Amino acid sequence: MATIQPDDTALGGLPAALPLDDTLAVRPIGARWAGPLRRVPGAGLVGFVALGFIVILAIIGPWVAPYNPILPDTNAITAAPSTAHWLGTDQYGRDVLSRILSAARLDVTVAISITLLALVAGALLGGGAGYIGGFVDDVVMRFVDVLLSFPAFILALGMTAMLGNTTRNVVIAVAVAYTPYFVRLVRSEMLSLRESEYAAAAKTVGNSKARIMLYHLLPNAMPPALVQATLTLGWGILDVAGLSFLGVGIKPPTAEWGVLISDGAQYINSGQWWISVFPGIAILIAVLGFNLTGDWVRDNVLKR
Amino acid sequence: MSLGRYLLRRLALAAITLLGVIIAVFIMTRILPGDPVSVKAGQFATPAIRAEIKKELGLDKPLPVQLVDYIGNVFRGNLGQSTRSGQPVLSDLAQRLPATIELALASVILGAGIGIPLGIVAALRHNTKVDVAIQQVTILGAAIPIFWFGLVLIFLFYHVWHIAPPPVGRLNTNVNPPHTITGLYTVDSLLTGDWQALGNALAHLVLPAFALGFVVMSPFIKITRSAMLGVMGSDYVLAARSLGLSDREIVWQDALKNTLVSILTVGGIVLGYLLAGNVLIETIFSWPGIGFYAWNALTGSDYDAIQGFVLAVAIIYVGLNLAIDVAYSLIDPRIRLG
Repeated sequence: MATIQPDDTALGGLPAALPLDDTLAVRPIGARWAGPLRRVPGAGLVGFVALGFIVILAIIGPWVAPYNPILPDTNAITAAPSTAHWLGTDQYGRDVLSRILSAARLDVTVAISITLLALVAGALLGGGAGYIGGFVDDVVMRFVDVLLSFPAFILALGMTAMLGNTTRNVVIAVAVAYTPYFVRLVRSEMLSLRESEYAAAAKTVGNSKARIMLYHLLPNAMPPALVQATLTLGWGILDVAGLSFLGVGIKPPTAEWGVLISDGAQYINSGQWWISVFPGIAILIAVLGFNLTGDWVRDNVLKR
Repeated sequence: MSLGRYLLRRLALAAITLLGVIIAVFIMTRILPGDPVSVKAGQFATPAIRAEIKKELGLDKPLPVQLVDYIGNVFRGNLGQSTRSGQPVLSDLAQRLPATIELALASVILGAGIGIPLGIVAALRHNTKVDVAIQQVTILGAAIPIFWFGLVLIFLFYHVWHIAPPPVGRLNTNVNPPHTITGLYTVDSLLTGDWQALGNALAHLVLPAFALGFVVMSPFIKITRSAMLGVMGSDYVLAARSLGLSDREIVWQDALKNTLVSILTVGGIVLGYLLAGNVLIETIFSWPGIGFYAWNALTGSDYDAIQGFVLAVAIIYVGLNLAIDVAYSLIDPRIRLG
């Protein structure tokens, strides 16, 4: 952002402590547009708490669930929240809390798998395209352009519809849909890194091209992709839940947050809100956790 | 580069991308596992019947020939036959597109209509409580599962408060649709002066449009806020200020116009959100557009219809992104046509 107050470089690198700073500054006129853009205060903390909460749920959730998450109970069909069932039961009498708890591990695992797969594929394709250049670069980038011609969710939807909706296929489909973003980020970093002096130095001492790319350059090309990865964790959860809701994601009766919302969808009109509402809150907390933590990492750790 | 040459080049690139899209959809359907012959023949078909169906579908030919056939069919507008409706997929989609356009337009109007002013306010009051509150809304909008939000809206406005009509379709069953001019019920009823249909169409439109609009609002707020902050810190605003113009004059006369140009860049992102969210929201509200059609196709294993839908969405996405890019370069003379 252009600022009115001369910054350090404009003063020719003079230490900011010099009194010159105050006399030269034209602060009065537009000072409110100068200065750093603060983020929402406490957002990072909320992100950490939300993320920690979801990670703990993912680890202990299936163990602490009070009831069997997929066993129907004909005595407690669509029971409202009570002391026996804190978050109520669904149309088969299954305990909503137990289903949310046991789904946490699946949802988080699926999101992490999607992100890792897209990250690794993107790093190899983008790194290779950027480092090798020429024909390889052209082919990879045209491929990426085609994938980017679909909204990610629609591409994943089309692929799971054709592949069949096993958990493995859902992970692959959503990962493919998000790979292009990683390819682009890693490639553009790689384009500048391959011209760096240390790349030339590594070559001079006799490292192979593959070794230079994988061990010397790729690790340095990753930071922007890692920020993208935290966002992809959030989108992955949203997309998998969305696919499950449409019936092409995780198959019922497996407990998955999108499946749970879908289970309760037809009961919303008749007032049994708890079946859908609580799993949605779990998704919201998880995505908030990933997004806010990602923002914090981008602003505080990876800022260069 | 001249404008004419630039436009030609962009069109040529878009055409190549579209060819890639068609090939991608072909690969999705033919090379991935999944057996259209079994779907069509059923599980009790004899090998002779299966062979006949295979021939009828053109699946006995080599893959490259199948690909050329497929591309030819797409260009002739033949996207196959829906097993559910028995109609050609293209006419099914064309028939349902106006409903989707109406919902998408209403969502963008809501999302931009609320998001842009909020973004401006956040920028003008940046680093204050107002700014923080507005940014919290954006954070929420980016994290909320849209289909869940739609259900919560239905529960509150339909079940609890009885304000909204039942979340089924575009009109109550006892209301006749207006005479078709554009296919958008709200516009058509306005044009023909059919006030009963207008009121009912609006009532049905508000909730799904708000659900989609809320999610779309987030990118609008973000880009407006940062564009406005950039403009307000720029040299020409400083110049205007030094000439003694008031804040109000600067915002309305100089800053807003330049901010609006930047907002176009977010168009592609918004479009992606709309096309994806549309399937979920149309499904929840039984809104008879192409998204609801896709959901019916998904649940009914109607493969031609799913392919047709995915292809249609990609074509719409590529086409509108191209239009946004071109509009952007036409409006802002600083963009180099390269």
